[in-house]
Amino acid sequence: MDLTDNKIAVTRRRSFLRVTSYFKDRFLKDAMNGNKRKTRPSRQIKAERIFKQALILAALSMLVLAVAFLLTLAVQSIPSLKSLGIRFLYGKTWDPVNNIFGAYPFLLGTLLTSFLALFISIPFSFAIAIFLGEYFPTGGLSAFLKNVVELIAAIPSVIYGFWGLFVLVPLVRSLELKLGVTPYGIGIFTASLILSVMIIPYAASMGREMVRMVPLQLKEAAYSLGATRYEMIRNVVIPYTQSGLFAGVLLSLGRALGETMAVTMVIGNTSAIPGSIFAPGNTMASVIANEFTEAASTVYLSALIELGLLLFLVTTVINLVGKNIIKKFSIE
Amino acid sequence: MEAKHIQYRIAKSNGFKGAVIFFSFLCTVPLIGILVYIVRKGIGVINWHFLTHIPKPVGEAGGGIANALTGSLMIVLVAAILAVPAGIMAGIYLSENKNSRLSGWSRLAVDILQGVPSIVTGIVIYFWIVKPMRTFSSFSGSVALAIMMLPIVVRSTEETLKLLPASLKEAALALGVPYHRAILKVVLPCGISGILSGVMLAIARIAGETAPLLFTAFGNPYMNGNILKPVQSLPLLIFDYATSPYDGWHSMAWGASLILLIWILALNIITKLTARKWSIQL
Repeated sequence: MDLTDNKIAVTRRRSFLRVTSYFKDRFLKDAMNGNKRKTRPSRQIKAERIFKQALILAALSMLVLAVAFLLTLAVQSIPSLKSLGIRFLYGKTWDPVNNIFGAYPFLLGTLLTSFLALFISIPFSFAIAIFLGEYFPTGGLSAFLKNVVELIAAIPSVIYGFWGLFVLVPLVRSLELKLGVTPYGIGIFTASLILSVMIIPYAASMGREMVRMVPLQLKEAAYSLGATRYEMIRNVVIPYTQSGLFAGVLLSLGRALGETMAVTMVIGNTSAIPGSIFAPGNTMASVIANEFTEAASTVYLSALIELGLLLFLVTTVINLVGKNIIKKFSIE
Repeated sequence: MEAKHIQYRIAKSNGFKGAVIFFSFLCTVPLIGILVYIVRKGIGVINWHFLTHIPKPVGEAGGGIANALTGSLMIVLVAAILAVPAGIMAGIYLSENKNSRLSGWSRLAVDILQGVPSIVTGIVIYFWIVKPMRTFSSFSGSVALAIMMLPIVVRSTEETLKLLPASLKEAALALGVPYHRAILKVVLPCGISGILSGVMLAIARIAGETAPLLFTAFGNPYMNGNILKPVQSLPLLIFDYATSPYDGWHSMAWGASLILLIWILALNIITKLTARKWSIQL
C-alpha cells in the first residue's frame, strides 16, 4: 500500500516536473527569441497582407501591360505621325528608298483578305454551329467534328502558310489559268483561302454555344405550331442567336486582321495596289513582318510601327465590341 | 395540293439538314489534307541524325534541327516560368474580387491583350527588351510569348476557381487558416486540373507562334544555350526554310513541321485529359 502510494506520488511529481519544465523551457525560449508566442499571429497577418498585395499587383500588371502596349506603339510612331500625318492613310505609294510612305495598298490588302476570308468561312462556321448546337449536340459525330474544329485551331499558322505555299498555290495557279487571269498562284485570293480555314473555329465554337442557349420552350412552341425543323431554325434559332453569331464573326474578323505568318508566305509581298483579288499584294501584318528588321531610317521604322498601332487599335475595338455582345447575350 | 405543300416543306427541311452536314464535314477536307501531306512529306526526313545535329550549309547533305528543338524548348520553358505564376495570381485576384473596380479594368486589359495580333507583340517587345539590350535574344522571345500566354492562363484560372464552391474556402477560414494558406493549400489544389489544362493550352498556343519571334529570338544557325543570345526555334526554322529556294531545306522544313505538329497535338491531348476531370470551358 505504501509502495503504491509512493509510486503515485513519484508519478505525480514526475509529471509535474515535466509540465513545469515544459513551461520553463517555453518561457525561457520565448524570452530568448523575443517572445515568439505573441508574434506568430502577427506574422501570419503580415503574410496575409503581403499575399493580398501580390494578388493586387498581379491584377494591376495586366492593366499596366495593356496600357504600356498602347503607349509604346503610340510613342514610337510619333516620328511618322509628325512627318506623314493623315496622308499616311490614303497615300498610294510605299517607296522606302525615296522616303514615300503611303499605307493605302496595305490597308486595302488587309481589308480584302480579311473580308474575303470571312465571306468564305461564314457558311462553314455557321453550319458547324448549327450542326453541333442543334442537330447533333451529343454523340460520336459531334465529338468527331468538335475535335476537327479544335485541331484546325491548334495547327500553327506557319504550317498553314507552308502547306498553302506548296499545295494551295499550284491549285490556285491552275484555277487562274482556266479563268484566263495572270497565273501568279500567290496573291490575295490564296491568302484569303488559307485565312478562311484558319478562322473557322472562332465563329464556329462561339456560334455553337449561342445555338445551345436557345430555350427549349421557344423551339417546342415553333414545333407545336407545325413548323418543320428548317422553319424552326430559320424563325426561332437564328433570330434568337443573331447577335451572338455576329459576335463570333467579329472575333473571327479580329483574328483574320492580325494573322501574319500564313498570309506573309502566300500573299506575294508587293507594295503595289492589287489590281484584282488574284493579284499579289501585302497586308499590314505581312509588311511589318517583312520589312521591320530591314527598316533603316527612323521614319521608315516609325511608319511600320504606325501600321502596328493601327492594327492594335482596330483589333482591340473589334474584340471588345464582340466580347460585349457576348456578355450581353449570356446575361439575357 | 395541301399534301404537296407539306411535302415541299419537309423536303426543304431535309435539304437544309443535308446542307448543314455537307458544309460541316467539308471543313475536314483541308484539315485532313494538311495532316496527310505533312506526315507524308515529313516522315521520311525524321531520324535520329535529324533530331541530334545542327543544320549543315546549303548543298551539303544531312544536318538536322537540334538547334531549333533546344531553342524552342528553352524559349517556351522560360515563357512558362514567367507567365504561369503571374497569370495564376491575377486569375486568383479576379475570382476573389469579382466586383471590385480594379478587377473590371483588369478583365478589360486581359481581353485587350488576348486580341493583340502576335506581330504587334513582337514590335512592342523589340522596343522593351531587344533595343535596350542591343541584341536579339532568346529571353526577349520568351517575354513576347509569355505575354501571349498570360490571358489564357488568367482566364482559365479565373473560370476554374469560379466553379469551386465558396464553402471550401469558408471552411478553411473558419478553422483559423490564414487567407493565403486557405487559397494556396485548399482552393488552388482543388482547381489544379483546370488551371493546369489552361496552362497546357497556353503552351500549345505559343509553341507554334512565329510572328513575335521574328524580331526577338531572331533565329540562329548554331546551337545556343545562352538566354541572352539569339536562338533558333522550330516555327522560325520552318518559316526560313519554307521560303528559301532550296529543295533540301524544304524537306527539312517538312520534317520540322511534322515534329512541331506532333508536339502541339500531344500538348492538346494532355490538355483534354486534364480538363476532362473538371468540366471546364476554355
